[in-house]
Amino acid sequence: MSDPRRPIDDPDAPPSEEELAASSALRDALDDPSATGAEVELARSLRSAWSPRDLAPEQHADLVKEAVARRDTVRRRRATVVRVSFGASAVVALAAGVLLVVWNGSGGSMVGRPPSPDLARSYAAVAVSRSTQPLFTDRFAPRGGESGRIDRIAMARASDLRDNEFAKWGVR
Amino acid sequence: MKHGWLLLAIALGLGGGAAACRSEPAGAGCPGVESSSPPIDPPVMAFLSAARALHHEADIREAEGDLPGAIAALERLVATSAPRAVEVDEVLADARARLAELRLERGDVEGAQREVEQGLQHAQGPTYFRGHLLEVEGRVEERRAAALGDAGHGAEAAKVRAHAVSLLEEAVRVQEQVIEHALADGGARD
Repeated sequence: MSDPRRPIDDPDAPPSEEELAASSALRDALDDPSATGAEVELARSLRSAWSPRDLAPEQHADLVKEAVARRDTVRRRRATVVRVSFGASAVVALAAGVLLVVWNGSGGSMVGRPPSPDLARSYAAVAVSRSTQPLFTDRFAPRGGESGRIDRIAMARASDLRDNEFAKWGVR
Repeated sequence: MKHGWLLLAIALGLGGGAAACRSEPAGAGCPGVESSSPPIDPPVMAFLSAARALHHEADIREAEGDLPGAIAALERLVATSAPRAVEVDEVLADARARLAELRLERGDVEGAQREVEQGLQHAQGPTYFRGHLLEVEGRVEERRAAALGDAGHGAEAAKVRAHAVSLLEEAVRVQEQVIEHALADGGARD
């Protein structure tokens, strides 16, 4: 429990010698810009909030110098970012362009790249349209024989179509 | 920055070159493109199946003595919409040759001549199909020469007969070319 008769507990008690000395030191410190200390900084902040003063010319110069230096650093960094972005975009465009052109989305066929052995075999397996001449060893009879010829052609190409379908399904 | 533009230019160049390769129909100078011939696919097979059925239908009509019916079946064949393929051309050439013979049998010399001419459009290379069409054309001219002779146009008949002989000779030459090609291929058969 506090004792109202003790000066430290009584807000209306007159200041002690010690308190007067501290007050005087703080006042002197506020007048001296080079003075440092937690209490001095606090007192300066309170005074600036209550009645701000112009910055000292040196302090102003320091702030400007620091701001300009920071701006230069940011500009250099931004220029680097722009350059790197363009370079990366070009590389990505190069890769995407080549991939888009050579890649056949559905069939996945690759142009400009040697096919794998399996793929090469499947290409070789595809029967393409060609003359049916090799199906006939002799010249045609002067009259008739057309049905026999179309029978032979249809059967040969039906076999080709089956091979092509199997090759497409990848079961050959 | 300079490097960025350079790389972009290279990318565009490569893309354009590859695109040109893909759009090249014959694949000339483009790696990985082996042949411009289309593969044997269902549309080609469907046409060949229809042609086969119509030839057999024409056989039945012919056997019954129904030449108009046989001609009608083959007219359907040549009117069938067909995909582009070598086989299709050769089958159409053969069907035209048969139509020409049937028309000739009915005495329609001009109709037979038209069929041969259209058939030759489908058989331009040295094949038995072209040789056969030339042979049929020679017979058409032979029939025309006979008709002209019967009508008393001796001079014109002689001219047409000479033309018939030249067509038959040409037919033989084509057949010989086919044989030479076959021998050059080592007798390879499909």
